[in-house]
Amino acid sequence: MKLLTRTEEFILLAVWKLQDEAYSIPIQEKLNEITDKDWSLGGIYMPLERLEKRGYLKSSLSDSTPERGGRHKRIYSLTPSGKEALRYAYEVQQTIWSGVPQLMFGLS
Amino acid sequence: MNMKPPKLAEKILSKLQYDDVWKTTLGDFEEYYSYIKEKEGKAAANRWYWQQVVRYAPSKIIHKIYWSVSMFKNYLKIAFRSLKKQKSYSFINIFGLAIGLTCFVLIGLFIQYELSYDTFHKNSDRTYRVVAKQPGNEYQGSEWFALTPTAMATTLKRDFPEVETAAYFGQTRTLLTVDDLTFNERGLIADGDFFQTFSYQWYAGNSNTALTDPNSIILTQTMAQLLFGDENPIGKSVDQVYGTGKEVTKTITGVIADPPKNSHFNFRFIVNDQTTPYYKYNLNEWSNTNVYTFITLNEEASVKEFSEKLPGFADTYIAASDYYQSNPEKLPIHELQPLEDIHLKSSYLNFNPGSSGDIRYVYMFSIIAIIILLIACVNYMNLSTARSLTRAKEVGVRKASGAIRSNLMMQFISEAVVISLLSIIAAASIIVAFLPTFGELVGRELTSQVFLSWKFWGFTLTTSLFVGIISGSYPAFYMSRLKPALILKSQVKGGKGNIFLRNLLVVGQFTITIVLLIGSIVVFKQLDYIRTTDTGLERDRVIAISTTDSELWDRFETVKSELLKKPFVESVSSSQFDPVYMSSRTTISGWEGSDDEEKLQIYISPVGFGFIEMLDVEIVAGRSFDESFYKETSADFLVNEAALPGLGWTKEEALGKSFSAWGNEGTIVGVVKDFNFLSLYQEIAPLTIMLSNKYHQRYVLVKVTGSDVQETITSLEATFKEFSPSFPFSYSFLDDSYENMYRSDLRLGTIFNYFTLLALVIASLGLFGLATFVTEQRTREIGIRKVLGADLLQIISLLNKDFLKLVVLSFLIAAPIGWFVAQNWLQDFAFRIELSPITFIIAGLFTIAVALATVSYKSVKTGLANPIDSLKNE
Repeated sequence: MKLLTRTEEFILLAVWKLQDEAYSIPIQEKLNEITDKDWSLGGIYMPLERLEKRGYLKSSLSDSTPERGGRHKRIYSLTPSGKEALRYAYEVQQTIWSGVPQLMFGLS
Repeated sequence: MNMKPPKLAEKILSKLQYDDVWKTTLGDFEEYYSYIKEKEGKAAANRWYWQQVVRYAPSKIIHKIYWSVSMFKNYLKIAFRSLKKQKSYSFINIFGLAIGLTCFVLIGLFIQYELSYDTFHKNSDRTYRVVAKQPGNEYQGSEWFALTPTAMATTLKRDFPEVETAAYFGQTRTLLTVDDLTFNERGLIADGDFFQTFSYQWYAGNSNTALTDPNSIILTQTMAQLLFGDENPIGKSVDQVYGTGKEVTKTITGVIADPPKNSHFNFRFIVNDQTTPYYKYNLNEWSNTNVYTFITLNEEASVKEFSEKLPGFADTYIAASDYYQSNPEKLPIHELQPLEDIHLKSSYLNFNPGSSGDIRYVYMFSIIAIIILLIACVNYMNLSTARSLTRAKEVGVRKASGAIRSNLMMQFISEAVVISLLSIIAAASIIVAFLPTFGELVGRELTSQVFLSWKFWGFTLTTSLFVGIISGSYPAFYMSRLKPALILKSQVKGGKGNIFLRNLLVVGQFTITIVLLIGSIVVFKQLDYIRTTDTGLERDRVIAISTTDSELWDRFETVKSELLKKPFVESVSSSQFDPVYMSSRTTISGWEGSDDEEKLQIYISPVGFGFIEMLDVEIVAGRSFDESFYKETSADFLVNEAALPGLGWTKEEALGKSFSAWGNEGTIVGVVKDFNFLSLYQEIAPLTIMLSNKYHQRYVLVKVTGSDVQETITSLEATFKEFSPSFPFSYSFLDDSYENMYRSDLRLGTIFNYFTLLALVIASLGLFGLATFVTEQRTREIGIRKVLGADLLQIISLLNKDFLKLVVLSFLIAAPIGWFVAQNWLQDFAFRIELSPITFIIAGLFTIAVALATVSYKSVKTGLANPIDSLKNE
């Protein structure tokens, strides 16, 4: 299985956490929150699109709201293979960090 | 609070792409916009939004262009494929549109030429001619005159600061002589700021000073060439010889380019008015109108305001003259006529110099051009919708694979544009080939120079694009509406509404065609009537030789006997005016038995002995002019019947009554039957024919026998050269001059015939295409019918019936319209044909015959075909 990039990982996590509200703007806010950086809107469209193409995400249209000029939201949700990819990423993380925390805390 | 992003930016973004993903993205943008706006203010939000435009637009636009181009390539490919596949339809469409476009462009060129008259003068848009209404002075059906007094121009300029330049001119025809070269030429007698008002190209001389010297003369380039060849003519002298024999020597002060053909007046030389015999007198006589006055107003002046000052001007100067003191009710009312209007809008003006334009013809031709083009467009629409079934599968497949309606409309419109562009290529070659012929037909010099102008090509291309879009729009609308599911299940039938519309269009085409046909028949009949009607004057075989040589007229009796010696000369006479157009009129009063107040306006024509006999004018009472009764001291008069009521006599009473006209006292010796001495547009007016031996006449009339025209003319010319060596020999046949008067009508008739023919051809082409299609559709039905025993006649009538109904219906609609239009045109003629039902029957039958022949070609073919061929596929 191909490993997720950091951005992809964050986005998938954000989508999972946001559940029904998982569309571009809340996702962006979530990312800002997690990483304490300013993500541009364009900067998340590309990974979202890529993830959807790879089958980790699927999207559906939801109701439109007036502040969107009457336009629909595109709500993303994780597919089983998306969850699998996250799980794999977590495992890899676990494996690679095992034993390291002591070192890290020791240094600080 | 307004939370909306900038309108323009939003519009740009939303135009870029149409899919759902993009729409939600725009939604995101808008939401984010309001988020930034709340946090950082409107300016920042706007800036952010525009940034998105800059960021996304280029790639999206390229994407869009890429796909449009590749789709368009596909459309073109399909268009050419279906063109090739159905050659006869393609031919009908392209050929029909080509004819339509040719007519349209040719007429467009003609109209553009008509509208270009006099616009070459620098200030033509603010130059006006002063014209006048003379109340009570009705002449040839109008009280309006183009002529004004000599003093008008200079006085207007002196009194009104808004008059920038003012000039006048009169027309003249004199001999110009240099050494032994003599030419009889048309020229202008001008004064004032002539060359400031009218702009010409100068080859030599100074436009500001050329006309100031009373003895100056300005030649056109052609005239200078004729008189001096390649020598520099400036400073040389020319003798100007008037009809009276008076000779004036003029010095050449300028040479200008020949005036453009699209000028309402033409000339070969210009002289200063101050040397003309009555100059001083005319300058002080405000009741004499003999020149054309032009003024250019300055840029700030308003025509309307200036026109309001003209009555005051007339009161100050014109009302003060002796004539208007005693006839105040006749004081003229002046108006300003724009220079650019003169060519087309002067038919109500008397003495308008040689203009043959008429705004009504411009309108009429525009309508005909549009109509013919529409008929051709309708063909395209009809054939494409009729054939929609054959293309339905394609539409279905395209729709199923994701084409939306606008894509399909685009496709069918581009297909029509392709056809119209192909036809413009065909049309352009027809136009190039026929432009000179067409120019001759309309009597205008339309040169091939237009092909070099981008305006012409712009106009032509725009027209054809427009035609493509117009004729493609309905098929596009119709075809793109088809439902893919139904098409692919083969459940599409030509809808009722579609057939109705097609029939409606066919009826429209044929209605127009029949109206045009009725029009041409009526015009033809009226022209034939003009040509052959007995005007009461025998015009055949009479030659009128025009000469102003006073020495010849002094020896007229000798000339006459010399001419009579020739074997082919039957009789010789003379007259002051062209016998087919005697337009001089006078006012008489004080005839025997009248009271002092009584006045009669009467046309007057001085003639010589033998005039009545030569032209076979019928005498209804008294006698003709007779040399044996002739007395030097008293004039002999004839009057026509139309003059009798005004004079208050019966024809017998009139004989021997004393009478005076143009200062000649005399008696009435006879009454002639009314004959047309003006044009057939007018009722016959009162006329007196005066025997005048003491005047110099203008025309020598010779009646000839024999058939060798060339020899006759050569022999006459030899005799005239003998008596009048320095004067050019100019002659015309009376019947030619007569027909010349109706030149514009004859022209109209010819053009009308051509256009009617074209309309008929295009409409028939369309009908042919439609018939072919319908017949093809019913091949199987016909096969079955034949198997079951139907004979050829039944098959033909089955197929023809539907079309025949349409043509008959068109006729029923067209007849009243045609009647109305024809009646309207005929109103102009005082002497005209009656509209007879036969005209309409002929037009109707002819159209029906043509339509039947067109439709039958296909139906006979189908009817004769072996039913096996059409049924074997089952």
